[in-house]
Amino acid sequence: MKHTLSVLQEVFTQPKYFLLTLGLSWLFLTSIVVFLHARLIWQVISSPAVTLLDKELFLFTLYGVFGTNFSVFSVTVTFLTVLLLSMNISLLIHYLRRQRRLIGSKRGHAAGATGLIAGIFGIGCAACGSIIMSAIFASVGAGGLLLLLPFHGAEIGLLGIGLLLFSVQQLTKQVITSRVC
Amino acid sequence: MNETSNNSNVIKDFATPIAIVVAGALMGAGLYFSGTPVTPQNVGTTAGQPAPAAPAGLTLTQLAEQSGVDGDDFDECLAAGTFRQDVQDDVDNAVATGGRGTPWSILIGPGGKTYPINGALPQPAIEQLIELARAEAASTESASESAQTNLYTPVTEADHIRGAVNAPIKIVEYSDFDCAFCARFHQTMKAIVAKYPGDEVAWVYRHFPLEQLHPNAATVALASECVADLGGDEAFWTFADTYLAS
Repeated sequence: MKHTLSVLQEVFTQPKYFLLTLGLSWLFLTSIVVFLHARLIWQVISSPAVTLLDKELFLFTLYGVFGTNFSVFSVTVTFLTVLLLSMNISLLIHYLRRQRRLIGSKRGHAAGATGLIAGIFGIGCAACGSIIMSAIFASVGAGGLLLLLPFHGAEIGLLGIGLLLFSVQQLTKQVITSRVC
Repeated sequence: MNETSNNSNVIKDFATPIAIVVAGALMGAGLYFSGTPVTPQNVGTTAGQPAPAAPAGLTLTQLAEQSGVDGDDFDECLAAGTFRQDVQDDVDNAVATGGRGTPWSILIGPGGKTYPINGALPQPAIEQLIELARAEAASTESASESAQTNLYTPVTEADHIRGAVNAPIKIVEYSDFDCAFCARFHQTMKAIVAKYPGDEVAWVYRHFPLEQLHPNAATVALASECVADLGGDEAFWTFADTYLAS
């Protein structure tokens, strides 16, 4: 737990990862709005009769659905999932960049990349690979689950949050031990 | 020996991601396949049963009486299920126009162009949409339109309308009395019709009870139709406002 927190502090005090996480969160929240109102949005943005400013204003007002079309519970689960998903991706990027830096030389870069790709499929550095797969699948699984919950069952979103938390914890652990991989 | 150890390591390393994927797939599949699609045939299966309690501790009969309707006449109407076909027609139309959940609404612009409103949009979004519909109607340029929403049943005097039947902008709402988001959207629509004159924007209320989620919703829809039949449109709106306010 202590190590997890120190890694999270190390990563997210860097402006680039902090901004990346914020940007990804915004992107995922926007995706939810677009997914829910795709037909209407397409109709408005494709209209030549509507000014660009009006289109932007309309899209902006749609973010209000998080207040009107979600229960307090489901909006909490949604925001937490989006945040954890973004953190997962930022941590994954940090981990991959760190791996490349640690390996050093150009040859090392190639070897590192090959090793990582191979690792993803469980060959070579299987420990790293399995962690990456966990992160990706937990992220995709949780995100996909949220989209499958149009009315109720928001409680299952908690499971998604659990998976994402597990993934964050595993990724931070891997950042610490990556030197031995 | 080494090979066996390697295989065991690979299995161990993959155990977590595989578990996560399997759990996710199972949950996703469970959610996907357990969701019963909204089907018109489901409407009215609970109608004719004893009237459920309305919110605020009132029975439907008491609520009907508060709306200005005779309680005995109301009970008789509800027991007979007189308006089952009308509610059914609304549901059929909601599904035909693309409604898959509640509230489902269609904004009909001045030129007849339709806009799908999925869920409880906030008031600023509805206002913005009204302005967009006006702008599009004033423009000569054509734009894309959803063919499905055009399948809405034309608005007539027989509908429950707040505003003029010939208002240039009409918002047809397909709603479920027992849906929390419909209750929220009801307040939004009340604010909309209060803001715009009735001869500019009209609000049309139609039924879309989702019995799979709300077993009493169809009965309440039938009750509201009985109230409308016995007490007129004013009584209907009093009933709807009271029921959805609590």
